[in-house]
Amino acid sequence: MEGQTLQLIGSLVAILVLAAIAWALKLGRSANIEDAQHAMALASEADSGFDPAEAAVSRDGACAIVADKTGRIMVLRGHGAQFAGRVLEPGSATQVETHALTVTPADRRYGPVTLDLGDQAQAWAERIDALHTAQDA
Amino acid sequence: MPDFSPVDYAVPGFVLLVLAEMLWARWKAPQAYEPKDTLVSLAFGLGSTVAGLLLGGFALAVFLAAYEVRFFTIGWAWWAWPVCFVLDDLKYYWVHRFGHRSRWFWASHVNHHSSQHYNLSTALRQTWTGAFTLGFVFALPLVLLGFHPVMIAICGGFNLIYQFWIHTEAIDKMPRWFEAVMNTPSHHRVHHATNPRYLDRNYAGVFIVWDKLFGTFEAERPRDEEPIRYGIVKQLGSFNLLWAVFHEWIGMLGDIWRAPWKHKLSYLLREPGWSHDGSRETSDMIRARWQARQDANEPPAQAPAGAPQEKPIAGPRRAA
Repeated sequence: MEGQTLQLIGSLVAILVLAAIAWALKLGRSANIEDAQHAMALASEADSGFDPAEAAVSRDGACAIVADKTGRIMVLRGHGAQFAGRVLEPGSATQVETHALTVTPADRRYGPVTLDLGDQAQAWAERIDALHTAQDA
Repeated sequence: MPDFSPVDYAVPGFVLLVLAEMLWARWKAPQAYEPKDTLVSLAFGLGSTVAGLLLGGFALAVFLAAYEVRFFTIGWAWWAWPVCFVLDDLKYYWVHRFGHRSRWFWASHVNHHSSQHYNLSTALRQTWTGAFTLGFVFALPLVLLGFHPVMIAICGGFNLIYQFWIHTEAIDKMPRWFEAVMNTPSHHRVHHATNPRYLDRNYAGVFIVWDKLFGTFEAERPRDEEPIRYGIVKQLGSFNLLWAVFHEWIGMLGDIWRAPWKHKLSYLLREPGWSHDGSRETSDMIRARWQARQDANEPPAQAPAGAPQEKPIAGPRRAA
């Protein structure tokens, strides 16, 4: 039992050391979305059934919002060195403050995404809110 | 009866190889590693060891009881080891295939696939909840044949060690003869890919021949032509360890709870992505849609003069 405890402590130390080395080596460049075309390419990679038609990229390049030809909307954000997207479902919440649109997908574990969209923020919020109406209709 | 756990001896080697791959990544592919992802993967490995200590006793007890009613007594003869290793690898193929094709098993196995990176630390991203899937039942035929449970466990340990080194992008292709018979980094990259073409392919542990035999093999395309995207169809988007461990169990139990009575069992046993109202997609559906698009975009083949005008390619490939 004592041996197993020592082994576990040793493993834990090794894990922390390896993660620290990964940090020290500056591995994992943070992911940036370059432009609308890049956002649309990422959206179709995230969901092969998503056929992007238009996109808006946050001014900091950290996240984007993409609509497909059928009216579905996906939010995308950097996740470490990669990207993760969510197609928004009814129940997703929006909040607009000046030019910042915060989207909280119905899948709460994905977490909220705040996009600096300039004067497009309100229009995108309304499109997302309309997803509820489409569901209720 | 030998008292030997090969994985225990391999752990220092795992650590050194992860370190070596990190150094390779520093110069060649910095995006191959992400510190938070690495931390989660390694924590999975440690937690899996603890879960094995806590829950593995049940499977061992079942094996020892089954061994008492075995059909033959194979014992510890030298030839029994390679035979056991090959049969255990065949068993691995099937338990792994079930791990992808039944949501109950997937709820546990998804842990190994939830990283969007593919490196040696991903190999250590092992499940904590394997005991809840009863996957060990797949080894019972070997026990009943007369292979001692300890021999099976040791062979399984070597199998796991073999699979460590194939989780890397640092190696492109092995020699042709090796690629033909053995599981390799190239074959296993396909297995971890979410590209529709690659979904639910290459389940092998050590010998890729099982996939070729059972129709689930897919060769890796040149990565500059078709870059691989790793992870799961719906990426987690979170580095929360506990969410990564339990998310599919929570999703599956929620679906079973909400489903009409006649569909509850299907949410447990049918493939991931199945839904009673057709609102979600299985890997077969994703691949079929992708294949249909490929076919639609493909320019018609120029048939030689006089040749019959038939479509040269059959419909979408069925997933296993």
